[in-house]
Amino acid sequence: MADQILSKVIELLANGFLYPNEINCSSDFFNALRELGSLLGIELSPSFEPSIEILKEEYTRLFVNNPNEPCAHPYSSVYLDSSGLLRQRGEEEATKFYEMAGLEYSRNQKESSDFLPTELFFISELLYRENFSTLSSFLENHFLKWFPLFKNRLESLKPNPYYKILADITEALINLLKKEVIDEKA
Amino acid sequence: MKRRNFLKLSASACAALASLELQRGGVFVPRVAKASSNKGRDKLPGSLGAKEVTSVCEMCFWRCPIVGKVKDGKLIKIEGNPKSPANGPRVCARGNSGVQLVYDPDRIKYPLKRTGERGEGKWARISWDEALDEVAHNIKKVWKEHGKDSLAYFDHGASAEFMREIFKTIGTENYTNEPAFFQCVGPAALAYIKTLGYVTTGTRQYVDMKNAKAILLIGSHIGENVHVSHVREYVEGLSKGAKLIVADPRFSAAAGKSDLYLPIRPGTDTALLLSMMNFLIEKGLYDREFVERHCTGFKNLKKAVKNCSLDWASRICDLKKEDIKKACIILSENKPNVAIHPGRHSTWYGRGDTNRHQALAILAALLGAVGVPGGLYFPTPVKKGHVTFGCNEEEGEKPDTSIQEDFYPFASMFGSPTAKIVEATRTGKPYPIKLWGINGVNILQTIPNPYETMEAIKKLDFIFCEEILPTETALVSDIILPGATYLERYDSVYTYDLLTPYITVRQPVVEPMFEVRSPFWIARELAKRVGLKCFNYNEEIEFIEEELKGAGLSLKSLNQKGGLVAFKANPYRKRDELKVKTESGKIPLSIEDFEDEDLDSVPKFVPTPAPPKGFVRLIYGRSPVHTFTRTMNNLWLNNEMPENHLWLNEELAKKVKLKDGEEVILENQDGKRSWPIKLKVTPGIRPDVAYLPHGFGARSKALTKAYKKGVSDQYMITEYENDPFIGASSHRTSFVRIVKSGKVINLPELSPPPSEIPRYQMTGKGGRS
Repeated sequence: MADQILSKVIELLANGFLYPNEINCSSDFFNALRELGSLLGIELSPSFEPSIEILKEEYTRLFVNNPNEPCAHPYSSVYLDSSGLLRQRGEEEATKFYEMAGLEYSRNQKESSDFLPTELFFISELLYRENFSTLSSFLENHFLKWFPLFKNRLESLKPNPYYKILADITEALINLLKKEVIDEKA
Repeated sequence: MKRRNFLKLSASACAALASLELQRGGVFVPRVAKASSNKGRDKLPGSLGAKEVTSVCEMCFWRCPIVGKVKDGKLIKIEGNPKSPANGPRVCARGNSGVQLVYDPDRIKYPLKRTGERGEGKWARISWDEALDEVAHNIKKVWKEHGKDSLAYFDHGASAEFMREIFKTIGTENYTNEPAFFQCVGPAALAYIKTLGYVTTGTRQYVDMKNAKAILLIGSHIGENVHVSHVREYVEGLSKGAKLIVADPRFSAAAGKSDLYLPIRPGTDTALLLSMMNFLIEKGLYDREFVERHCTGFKNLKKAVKNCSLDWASRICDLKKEDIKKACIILSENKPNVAIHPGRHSTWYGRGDTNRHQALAILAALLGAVGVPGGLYFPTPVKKGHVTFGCNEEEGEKPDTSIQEDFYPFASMFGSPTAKIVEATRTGKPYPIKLWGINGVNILQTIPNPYETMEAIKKLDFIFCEEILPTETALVSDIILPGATYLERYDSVYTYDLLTPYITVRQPVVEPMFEVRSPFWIARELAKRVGLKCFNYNEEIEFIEEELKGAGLSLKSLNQKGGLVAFKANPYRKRDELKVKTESGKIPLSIEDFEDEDLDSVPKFVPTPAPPKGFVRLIYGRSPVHTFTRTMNNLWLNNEMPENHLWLNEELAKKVKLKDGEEVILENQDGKRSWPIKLKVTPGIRPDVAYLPHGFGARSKALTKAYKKGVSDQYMITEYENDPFIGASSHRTSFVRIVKSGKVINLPELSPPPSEIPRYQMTGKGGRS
């Protein structure tokens, strides 16, 4: 049961990193995030409900194209490959893990398979399936190798609190998972 | 904390989580084991075993045939198409680096809309529907409020041709003002059309260096300016013993291979050419038989050049008389198999540019070097089906005062002069221009005086662009439409009509990334929204098939033949068959059309002002690993050459205690200052010029690899003059001095100009004389 809830929670975070839409900018979404934050000791003000317009502008600045400084590109290849290009080592690694879990990234997607929300959806899927061995390896050998670098870059851009908290909660939860599925196993 | 503690999430949170219709569906599908048809080839290292897709490069506009190697839907490597008789399996450094363009994280990924002030840098990603509706709304609004001619389109390259149809159909006279023409090849193209009856130099140059016994380059720095088949032919010609004469103020890569190097004073090339013509005529060293049979206006020419002695040219050009004479003799001894290179980028000094290239064409004619091996040759048209898009082919009615027709007599052959569009937008005269569409060109790094261009942009009601990378121009746009790279799209059928003719097609090597779209799709969708009857094909493949059908091919059959079919060339003419496509069928050495417009019918030396005291002339050129400003953000190419250095004469530098590698700032005659740049102190440049490789010094922070690397020559070119034939803008009429540690250093004059050359007059406050 706990893993099913956690799976849903990670799915929530993955949605948070998608382009702002009616779902991830809804009161219900903010409330769920707020409650999740409080459980992890990360505070989100009760009055915090940014408009979708503000978040769209912010998302574009942080993750799509930033006219003033380098983006926090939400793709593992940018961090895992010395070239800093898209669709490199990060994508190859992620794809191999998807295959390992018997999954394939849908060809209908506009984003490459190492897109942050996609990797979070994968973690959610592994939790849902209780596939802890793949989860352990994915976190240790892939996700945790780049997510902290991404988060540093994001923080250097002084993001809107929404994205700061989203990244903080993601980090806290992933570290929790790491502790349970990697460290304790060891 | 343990993950079971998540059970502590409140009932309300759990209910909220459950009730949210979170997006997930379809991201993953169950993996289906596939029977491998490639026998494990995908497991081979590198590009081994990759799927091969033939296409056409566009890292520059020479457009070499290529093969893209693809594994798991990812482009691994690019090579030349071995079927291509022009480049074979070779591509240049830029061709190789196309891979890095596709996977550059800086690229524009989605349609973007400006959300802050223009140029402030606030954008939001929007849908294609929203983006196209917004552009269409503004086109219709400006059209209705200010008339058709208030819309202007700046375009360059294959990606821009489809959208040009929209502006043409609206009827604006400003449907094309290609900076690639009016800031580049325009004067040379006009000179050759009027002299030889065809575009001897445009996108390509029909000059047979491969079979030449002597080659003359005036400022062309082949080797630094790399077009694969062109360079191959040049190298082959040299390897077979062709004598090379290079006139250039800088000891270029070509100068390094020359038999005779003429370190000419900038702005005096026409004087050199006139003296050479005079010498050849006076000494009877020209091809008398060719001139008598195939040329008109010889008497006028002879009269016009009679005072252009070698002594005169020696003083004007700052060259040794004996060297000029030697050049004449080399050319004469090897006539008619001499390659008088027509040049390409010719917008140098404004007034004399068309005449300079007319002089080059005349020199070729005097040597009989037309339609013969080693000389200028004729294109071999490659047959293909003719395609029309159903758009309006009629020219719109011209306004009372026409930008295209009423300022420069020959501009309308090519479009509307870029500088005039900028001026009209700034001043509202002769009529207001309120909307710019920009496609495939970074106008702020292409048109002289970008400060004036920015003033114009501020006055627009609306500006949009189709772009691949977030260039300076994209940053000031209201809507940015993300275009697919040449590796992600179809364009059309390409034919090559030079010495090794062929037909090929650009086709997608990989699927488009993100939400980028092909230029045809964008233009078609936009036309629909503007309400224009335009584009009677649904997708590119339909008209590509039509074009190929005309060549007796289909896409399938072409691909089965390796993506390319070669043909035999017909570049030369027997003397008794030679007929050029001018009115008389002969080569006019004196052009009546020019005279009719009160312009010089025979080239005349018109001096361009010499540098003011303390300054040197700023000139620029190509880098072998970069194209314009388009490739500086490319990872591999940036690694090869991340920044430019300023070439400065060694003796000059010594006089003012400047050292090689030192960082300085440039200040131009209008007080505009550059970013810091390192000096390349060398004896290989004249002391009255400074040289910058073009295209560096990106000012867009969104170009993360190119930003602030080196100096933009364009931002230092604030003084320009428009050519009186077509209104092309000069790019070598600005001057710089050095600022070091905050202190202005005036540069001493080591090669004073002769009295015939006036000096540029400073206002004393910066700004124009």
